[in-house]
Amino acid sequence: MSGLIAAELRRMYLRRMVRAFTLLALAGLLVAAVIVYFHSSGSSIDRFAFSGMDEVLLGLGPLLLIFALVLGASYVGADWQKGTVTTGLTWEPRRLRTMLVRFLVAAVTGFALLLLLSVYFAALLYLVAATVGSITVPAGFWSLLAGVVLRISVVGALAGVVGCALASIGRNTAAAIGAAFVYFAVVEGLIRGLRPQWIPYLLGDNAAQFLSGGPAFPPLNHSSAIASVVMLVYLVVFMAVAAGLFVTRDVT
Amino acid sequence: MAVIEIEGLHKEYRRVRGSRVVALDGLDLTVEEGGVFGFLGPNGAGKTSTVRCLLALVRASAGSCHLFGANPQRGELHKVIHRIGAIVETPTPFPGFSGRRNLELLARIGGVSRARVTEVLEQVGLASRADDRVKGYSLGMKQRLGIGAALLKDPELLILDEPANGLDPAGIREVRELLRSLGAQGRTVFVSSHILSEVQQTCDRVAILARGRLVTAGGVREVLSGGDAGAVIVKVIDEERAVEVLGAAGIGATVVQEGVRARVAPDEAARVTEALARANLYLSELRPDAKDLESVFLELTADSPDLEPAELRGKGSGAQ
Repeated sequence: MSGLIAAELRRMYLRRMVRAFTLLALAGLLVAAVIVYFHSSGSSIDRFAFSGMDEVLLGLGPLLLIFALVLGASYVGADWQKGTVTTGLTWEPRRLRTMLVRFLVAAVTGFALLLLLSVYFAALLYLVAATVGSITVPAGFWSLLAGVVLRISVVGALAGVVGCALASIGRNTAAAIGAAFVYFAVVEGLIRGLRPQWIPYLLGDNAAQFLSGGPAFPPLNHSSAIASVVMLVYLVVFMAVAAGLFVTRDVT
Repeated sequence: MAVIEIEGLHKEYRRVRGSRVVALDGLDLTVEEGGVFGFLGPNGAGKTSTVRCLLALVRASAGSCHLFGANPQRGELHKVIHRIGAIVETPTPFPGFSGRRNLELLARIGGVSRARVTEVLEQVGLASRADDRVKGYSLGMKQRLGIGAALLKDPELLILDEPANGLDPAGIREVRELLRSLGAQGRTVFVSSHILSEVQQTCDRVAILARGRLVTAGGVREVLSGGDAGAVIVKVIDEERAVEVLGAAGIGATVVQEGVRARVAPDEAARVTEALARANLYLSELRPDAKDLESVFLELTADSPDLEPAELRGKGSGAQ
């Protein structure tokens, strides 16, 4: 099993898409920091205060989660599209084991990359704030910021696994991304409009509640702890369906 | 000892609109240890489905199969997978990685050393291009890489589905020699192919499959002779008299287009020359009446609706 984990981790990190997307994200965040720098040096009203960094990261969260979902989906989707899944199974025929390792790799990657990007962006904006803004922060700010970074990374791990599961079910990267888009942009939107009583069970709203870490707000009247349980249920369902189909379906 | 045992294997695929396609229809096959075993059949005969069932890539609809005694259909393949190297159809390495990196990733899964990766790359003639991206490889190079991946575990059993696909004539010859040498080392090489000449030149034993069923199996010579003892073709001036003389000597003979066909095993041809010489009939030619695998294959699979002329050429690249 350790050989399989090592091989899959290596495959993930050697993928050009992972490297290219990470570099692109790092470059994009650098550009964002430069914009904040120039904006902040313009007038005293617009000076960037690092005390608002947690809000900045929460605003950036959805973008980072899409990044993790796409990487998780392409990691497994490419394997199906190229047909390399067959070769892999002639080395490790235990499909459940293979699927669980892939979930693990997608989770580790989602967590690690979102942690890296969040810390990197926070560091960039700290430099901006130290140069042309304010680095004065209230008591307890650093633990609050660390909590936000950690929660973004945890949801990043979940997004990676969901992307991986969807791509495994659809045997295709585009199908996974399309399904995620339809769910979050269409299905959840329709439910919010037509069945607001179901909102407490929506993945997007529970993820937002978990990320904020704050008190509950209507119509999602439950705490972050309950939101994390709802997210976990979604995760288990996605994993079970993907693993079940991978174990039972023919690989042709 | 049987390395591969297949009993009543049945596989149906469901199509999108609910119809079913029978790929394997009660296949029975036993492959003994050692040597090169050719698994021959036209497209759609069920060769790849058999390989996929053996490697647990697809679920058999009925019947059973065993590899080294383990039943892949019951999740037992992992117990013996370290003894098996396989290629299923055209190998599909990761195109963005180099050939070496592709093999190294597989080596990690199987606990194979890096030194073995280098050794295998040399064995399949890819050492000089090992660090190039697979994306730039020709089909033949990808095929070699696939064979390399199959050899990586130094397996006792090699299951190769159309290994000569995409190879140029020199490559085909190298693969043929490689397979022969692997077979001679005591390994079992199970090769599915539609290239009849390759099977004839490479394999010790052959099984012919049509419409998901076994048509015949045995030693290549045995299959070629179609079960009879064999015959020789002789050329003499007076063919009618030669038939009489041979008949009197207890050798059945008939006049055919090429001369006189005497039903005697080629290694007993001296009986023919002796009988004819005694009657002052002298031969200008004597040769075994050897059918080639292609004609046997055509005879045996003649009723297969999926048979296409392109599959029966038995020559060329074999790429489809």
